[in-house]
Amino acid sequence: MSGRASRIARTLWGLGLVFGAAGLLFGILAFRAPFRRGGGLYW
Amino acid sequence: VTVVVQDAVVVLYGALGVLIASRHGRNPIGWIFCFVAVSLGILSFASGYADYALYARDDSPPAAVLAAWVASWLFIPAVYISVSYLFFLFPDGRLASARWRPVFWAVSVFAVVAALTTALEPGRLYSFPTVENPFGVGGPFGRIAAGAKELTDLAAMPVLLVSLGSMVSRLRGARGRERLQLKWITYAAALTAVSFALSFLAGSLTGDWAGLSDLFFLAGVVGFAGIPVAAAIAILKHRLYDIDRIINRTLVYATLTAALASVYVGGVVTLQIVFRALTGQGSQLAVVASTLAIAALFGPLRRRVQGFIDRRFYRKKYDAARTLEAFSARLRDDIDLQALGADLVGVVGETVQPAHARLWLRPPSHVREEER
Repeated sequence: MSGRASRIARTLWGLGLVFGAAGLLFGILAFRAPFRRGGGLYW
Repeated sequence: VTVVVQDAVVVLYGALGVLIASRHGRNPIGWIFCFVAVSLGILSFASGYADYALYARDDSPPAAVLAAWVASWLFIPAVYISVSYLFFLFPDGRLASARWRPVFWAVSVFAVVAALTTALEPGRLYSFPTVENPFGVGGPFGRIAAGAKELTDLAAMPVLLVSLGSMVSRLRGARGRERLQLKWITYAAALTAVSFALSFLAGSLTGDWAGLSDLFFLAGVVGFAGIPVAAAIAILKHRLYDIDRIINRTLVYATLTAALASVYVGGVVTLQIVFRALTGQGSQLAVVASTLAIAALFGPLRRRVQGFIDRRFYRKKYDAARTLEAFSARLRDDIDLQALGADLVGVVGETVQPAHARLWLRPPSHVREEER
């Protein structure tokens, strides 16, 4: 039980990290863009 | 900035989720943390990509609209549902009592309705006002969804407070170890809730001074990140018994910071007025003098506040410390072993409050041998 649970939990965390890193990358791209249209509420 | 905070939370919640889930696979708390990590990661990706594709590029690829749509509702299961479930199920994965079961289900239904209506509400997306909801439902169902969303928006904060209430009621009924476990997470949860509420209040009261509101918001984010840390500490039973000290220190340093800040601001304002009256113009000297004053005040004021907090909230411990101090003073003068023994038993009874105390002195047999 413990080994399998650990693997599943690790996979979920890994997915979160990959998506999170991609989000960070796009966030930086959006922030560094020379011209920005519209609002951009997130900054 | 939001993306960075989200990613930090993903790292934190995910790490603790793995830690808890692999040790306590049957406890849902670890899985709730894992769910927060995945869904916040996806949320971070969706909002980051939507931000980039919608605002930083000339063309808007169709995937950008989809990402904006996901980002507009995913925070409800990612943050709202997980946090309220955490409040309901912490620390053992079971509800506080059978009476909470209907409340738990009501909150679950409420949260699903909130997520669905936010996803299906027709019109512009709240977080991305330039995007029309691609899955918005028209007609009578759309109007029902919009109405239901208004309701869930209004009730969101009270419902979260109800789930916090479940935790507080558990804390009131708990004893010993479970009480300490709950104290940890209630501390983090209270920090989050109070800070966000203060941030909201400061934002609406002092519209032109956003710094204060931002400061409280930051404290709220720290509290939110502290929830999984507190939960993990509690569940894994590490450093469980330090919570009283941390609460004590928070009280001390919050009071100290408030006092020093008011001394500083008051000092600067007063001295500026004095300088203006004397020389006809303001002076940097006011700032320098106030800074020096709070630097000098820090040490003595901290001791005063610590003493006050200990006397006010930690009476027993304070009295115990005083009793021990007095005993060690008597120890220097007293030479009668019989009286000293009785005194020692009395002090132990007063400070440790055991059910029974007895003093056993080893008879000095070798001394007697020498005397003979």
